[in-house]
Amino acid sequence: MPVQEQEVSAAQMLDVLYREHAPLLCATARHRYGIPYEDVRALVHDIFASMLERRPQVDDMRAFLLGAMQNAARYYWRKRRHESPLLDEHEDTADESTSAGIERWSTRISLAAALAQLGPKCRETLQRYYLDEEKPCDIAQHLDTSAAYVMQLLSSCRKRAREIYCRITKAPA
Amino acid sequence: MNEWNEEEWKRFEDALRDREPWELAGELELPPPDAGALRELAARLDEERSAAEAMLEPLLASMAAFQRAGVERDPAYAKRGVVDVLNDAASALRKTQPQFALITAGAAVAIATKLAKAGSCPGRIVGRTHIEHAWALFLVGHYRDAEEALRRADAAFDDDPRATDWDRAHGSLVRANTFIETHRLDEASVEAARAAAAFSAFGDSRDFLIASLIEGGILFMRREYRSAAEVLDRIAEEAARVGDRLHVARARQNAGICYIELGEHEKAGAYFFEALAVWDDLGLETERVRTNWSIGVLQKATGDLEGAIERIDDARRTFEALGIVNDAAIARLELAEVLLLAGRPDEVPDLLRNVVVSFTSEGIMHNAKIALAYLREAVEAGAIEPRIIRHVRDYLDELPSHPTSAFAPLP
Repeated sequence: MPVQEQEVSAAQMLDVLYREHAPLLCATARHRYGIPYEDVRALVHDIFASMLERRPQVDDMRAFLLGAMQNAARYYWRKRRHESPLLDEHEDTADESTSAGIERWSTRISLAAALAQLGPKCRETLQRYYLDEEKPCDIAQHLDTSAAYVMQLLSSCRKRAREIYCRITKAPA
Repeated sequence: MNEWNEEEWKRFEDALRDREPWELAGELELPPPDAGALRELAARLDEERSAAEAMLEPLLASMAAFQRAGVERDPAYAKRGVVDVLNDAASALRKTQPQFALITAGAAVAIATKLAKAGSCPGRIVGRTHIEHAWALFLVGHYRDAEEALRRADAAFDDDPRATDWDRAHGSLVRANTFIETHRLDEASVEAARAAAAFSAFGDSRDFLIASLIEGGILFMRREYRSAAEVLDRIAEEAARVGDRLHVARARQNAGICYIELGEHEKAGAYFFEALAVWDDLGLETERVRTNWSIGVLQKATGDLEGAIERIDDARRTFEALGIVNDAAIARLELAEVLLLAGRPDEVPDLLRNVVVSFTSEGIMHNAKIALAYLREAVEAGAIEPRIIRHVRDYLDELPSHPTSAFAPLP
């Protein structure tokens, strides 16, 4: 039989995946697993290095990398058990509760990625309305426009955020 | 574009009121850490892989050429890239040439172990070689050796902090299969569920579906047909969602057999024809024959005995032509039973005199021969009945799962 030539080289795989997922892994390491800033870079490097060695044929690389991050964080904190107790996020096995935990985190980080890709005006408008709970008329005053225009802006920005979110999660938009 | 319903919009808007995604968004805009070292690693891995492919391509053309080369003893092949190529080759050879896969995987284990001792092959890669080896051992029926290989894989993973639950889940998959064959269904179920959970968490739909199919298979073996059908229906839906037609068809084929047992013949028929269309499209002849056989069994259940005879005989002839000996034997017995039910006993003796089975294990072969001798005796005495044929057929069908169970003639 002929040797199994891999369709994608390690270099091609890195090019495609690193730019898209490295910031996500860094943020996950810090915010979900509480990895100190100075250790995040090495952890993310190790995860990508292992991925390049194995070149897994999976259909959701984001989930794969997040799963690998969970395992790496588990080991990281196990080594430092005396410094900090293990949290639920550092569960031992990939059982249903941990995959649900990863899924919840995945939703949050995907929304964050969608927000990061929004234009500054959309982002500010949505942030003022949803997070800061400002009324449309106050936002209008700040933007020096009408409340009706803000309502229109909110509608189109929400749709845009949803489109990006669905593209990131590959859910039907 | 699909519209979100009110509930989906509400969830989305609730998520927008959460502070965390907004804080994370700022962080995601920062440039990623420099990837220079990773680029160097990727280039080195690609180079090693290309070199290994060039060395191994002529040897992997045939088992004889590979054995002659003795790559596991030749220092020129003691390279990481060689281990990767051999692992991939063993994986590809598994279904078609398990003996060749066994030799290839064995060579990968030997080289990886040597390299690991010198500190140039990490545990996660050594673990993978043991898992490929375990697959091949399982497929040639060496279940104990397969379990030992899996223990070695676990030990290799334990030594490597970068080994993941995904790496280990591949071991669970082989272990589940091994436990099924040695009739340890509870343990098999635990391993299959563990593998399915890990594959799901790691976004590996294909292996998730394989692990889930095992779970469905275990329920079937326990004769819990309703639960099995429900699991298999869910698998088919998930496979359809990710566009995996192969597993849609596998799940439909197995669910169809459950629905025959449940007496839901219409549903069974619809599933078999759905599977048949996929096998035709994918050109999977053996699978097509199996489904055709299942349709024959369905026709038998619905009383269309002539239709059943035609389909089962077609399956029997194709299995014999393809050299799939044991399935051909079971089909022969099934055909004989239907011929008797259809009032065509004259054709039965010749059919039953030539039943041949083949098992690598001497113990299983010995038990199978006793069952076949009992069958032939009944034929020669002119005392053959459908229940005798069914008894022998069920025994032979389950023999690989119960290798030590002795054949007991009907009272």
